[in-house]
Amino acid sequence: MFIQINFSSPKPAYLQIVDQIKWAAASGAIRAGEPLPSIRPLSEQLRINRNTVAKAYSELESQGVIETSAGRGCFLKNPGSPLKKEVRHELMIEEIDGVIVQAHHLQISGKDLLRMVGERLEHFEDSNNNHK
Amino acid sequence: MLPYWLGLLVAAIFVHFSATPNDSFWDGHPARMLLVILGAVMGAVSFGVELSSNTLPLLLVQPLSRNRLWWEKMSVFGAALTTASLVMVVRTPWEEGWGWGSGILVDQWSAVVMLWAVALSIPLWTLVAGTALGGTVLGLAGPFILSVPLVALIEITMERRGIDFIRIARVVHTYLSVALPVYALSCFLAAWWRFCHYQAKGNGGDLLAGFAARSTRGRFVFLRSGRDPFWNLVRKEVLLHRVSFVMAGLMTGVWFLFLAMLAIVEGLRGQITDEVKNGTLIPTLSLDGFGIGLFAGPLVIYAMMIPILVGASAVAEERTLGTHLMNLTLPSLRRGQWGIKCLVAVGVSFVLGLVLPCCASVVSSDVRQALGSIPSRELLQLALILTPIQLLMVLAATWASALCQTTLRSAGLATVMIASLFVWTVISLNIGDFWHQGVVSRAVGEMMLHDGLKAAMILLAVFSVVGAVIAFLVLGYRGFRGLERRRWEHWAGFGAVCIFVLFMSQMAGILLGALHGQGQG
Amino acid sequence: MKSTDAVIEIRGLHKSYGATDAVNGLDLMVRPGRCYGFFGRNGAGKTTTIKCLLNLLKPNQGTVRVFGRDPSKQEVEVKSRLAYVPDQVAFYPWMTVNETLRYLESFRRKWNRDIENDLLERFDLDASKLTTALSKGQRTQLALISAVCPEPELLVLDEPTSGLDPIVRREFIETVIGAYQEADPERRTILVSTHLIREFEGLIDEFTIINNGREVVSMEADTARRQFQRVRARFVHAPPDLAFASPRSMRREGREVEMVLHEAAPELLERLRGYPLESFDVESLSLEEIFVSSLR
Repeated sequence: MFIQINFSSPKPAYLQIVDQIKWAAASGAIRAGEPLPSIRPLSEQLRINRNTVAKAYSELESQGVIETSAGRGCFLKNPGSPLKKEVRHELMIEEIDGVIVQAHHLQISGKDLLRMVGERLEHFEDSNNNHK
Repeated sequence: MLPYWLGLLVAAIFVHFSATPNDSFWDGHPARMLLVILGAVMGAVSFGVELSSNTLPLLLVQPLSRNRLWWEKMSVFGAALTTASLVMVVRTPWEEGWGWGSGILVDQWSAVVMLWAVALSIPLWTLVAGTALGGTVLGLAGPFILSVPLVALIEITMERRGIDFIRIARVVHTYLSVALPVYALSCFLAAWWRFCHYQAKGNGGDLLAGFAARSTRGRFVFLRSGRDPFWNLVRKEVLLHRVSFVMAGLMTGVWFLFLAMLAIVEGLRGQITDEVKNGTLIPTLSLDGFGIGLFAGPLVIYAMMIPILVGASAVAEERTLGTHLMNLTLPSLRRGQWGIKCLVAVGVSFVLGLVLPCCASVVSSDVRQALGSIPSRELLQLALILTPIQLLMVLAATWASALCQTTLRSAGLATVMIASLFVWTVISLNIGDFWHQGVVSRAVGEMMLHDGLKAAMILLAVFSVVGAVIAFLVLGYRGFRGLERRRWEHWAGFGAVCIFVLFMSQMAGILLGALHGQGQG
Repeated sequence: MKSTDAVIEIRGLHKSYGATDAVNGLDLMVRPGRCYGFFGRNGAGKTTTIKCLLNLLKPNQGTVRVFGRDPSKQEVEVKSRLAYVPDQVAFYPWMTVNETLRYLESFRRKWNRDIENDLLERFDLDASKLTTALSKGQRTQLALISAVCPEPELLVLDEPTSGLDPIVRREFIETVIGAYQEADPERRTILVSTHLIREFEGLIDEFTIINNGREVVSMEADTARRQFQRVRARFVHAPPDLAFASPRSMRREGREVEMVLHEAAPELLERLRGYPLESFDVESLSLEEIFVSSLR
């Protein structure tokens, strides 16, 4: 799993790590139960503040993406969110609304949008299959 | 360069006016010695600063031939030397009838010769040593080794053979007038060659310090570096004075070389036993001031220079090395560091400046008496007088070191201070044959002696020394602990120097008066 | 976070050398566990401020508190909890690497031998080598080792990587992250004053840019990246009047416009997007670019 920090992005570094790990989980680059790189080597490799990585990991933990076991490190959790189904669906609707608004801004038609969503879903599926 | 030139001229003027009959150069007339030392320093500085600050490569990159650069440097130096020599030797019309015999003129000329000999050899030694300080030390040692031991050897061997003094003097003068110029010229040419082929290697230019560092590395093992910061600091402080150790080593080496040469010469002639028993073989250090001892003069100069050098290295060396800042940021009390620094400086100065020469002169006196381990009374008296003097000198130099950036400058400041004290004492007590003339303080001294106030006088002397010591420690600490100096502190320092000079000269006058009274009574 | 918990707290610092004001009313607060960047041009007052922290200089006015204590009054207490790596590293030329470390160790209450051995191996430093035989980079590495081993709560770095080759620079930063921060992240604070801002980009949590003895910008790194943006846009028609954006600098070339914004807000960007555009690119300024842009 390759993580890269883009300092030109307005997104804080720790969020970038959070997103990239979530992406990796979604695309199957890392599977449930697999260990994540430890904080110290990752921070040395990325040459960023150790606390930033720690912050990212604690954010992931609070979102329920990873779990920490003392002495053994951080592992990707099985995708079982503690949130209730309705809550999860509501959060997803918010994200979808955002995407639709953005599409309008970029003058993408609804049909094109749906097609693109389908393409991207296929892409992730393939990626998951390749990683299996 | 200008201040050095001025200093050289002032010294030359002083030499000119303080010449008296019966004054032989080898008795170490202080002013002449000072002149030579100043000349050496000036020469060393003209190269040394660029060598140690590594700006010589910058100079060599200029679109000028090396020959041209060399002669430009030497011309300034030569001009200074020439003016100083003229001042010393030339007598203005209104000086006629001042009582300068031909003997004086010869002595002045010999001072000039010595000055040029040292000065011309200095560039080589500076290039070899890599720093101005190292160049000065080596450059002064060179002619010293060439003249004093060999001259002493010549004099003594000829005396053994019963040759009269005048012929001996002529031979000595011939030898010196040949040997010194040859030495000086060959050094000068060697320096010229070396300069033209100089390779700017960069790191590690300081020969003397490197040599001292290598040779003292294993020595202070008993001061192990462990968990105790105190002993670590002591060890570090001792090793900071490495240049002084080199100088002491040179002096001791020359001394023993001379003794060995003498022993060999006398041994070859089979006359060693009687002379050794009688103790007439080697002259001793006597309290008679700058008397007959052949080594006495240089030995006294050494005993005066070491405290100044040791004190001057105390803080300035750290500044040059760059470790001063590091020490100030360590979690250790600055007062403690300063205390240890002063203590070690005094200790090193005591060992190198007093104990070592005393041992050397003990060896030179009646050997059997030395084996009986009872040092002569004169030696003890001299040691007793020298101790507070050296203590004051070392602390004055340490104070100067806390103010200046380099060891050489601190030594210069301290020397100026001590020299002004000497000059002022002489002036205020009348120049010349001052044993037979009196002014207020000397009169006070005599009076105190005769009125039975001896104890009070001694107490006064002790208090003044203690007061000066405390003043130097306190003022020096201010300079040590901070990175900045406010303007008023410079003026305060200058004021302190003036007070020191004025006060101490009066004390010296009182003591001299008492001594004179004791001598007469 | 109460201000009394601050590792470094400077208020209204004034320091002048004769007639020139080196520091002219500086406020600074560094909280524990943070990596604080201190940027400024040459002569802006950075080194002066750091020297006031270490009681090498006395401020004319203002208060300086390190660990809540006055460095000029409780000197040893303060210095025993911090370590300083100066820009001009100097050691005693007659000491070897090992002797230097032992010398410095004797002044410290704590000293981690494991870290020392680990770092010596990592930097490939021969412990029996004389300090004069070390290259500049190796001397800096030695200084860093001697700063990290006593496990201080505050690490003050003054131009630590200037004049070093890229490999040594990387190892320096990795050591600071690894050996230093790892052990006790909540209480390991770093104050770094440097020109090589790009290198420390990832490390810095918060920074202050100082100029002429005063602070110019002082904020968290994440906030800065949100606020300082560069916008590149190519308009379909001639570019309109963009004064409303109050850009710090603007460059126009035909239909292309490049702007640097110091207070970019999402609404502003939305408004810009509203214009007919061929291309629109928004990018955060790196810390170095923020530095240049704030001081030009």
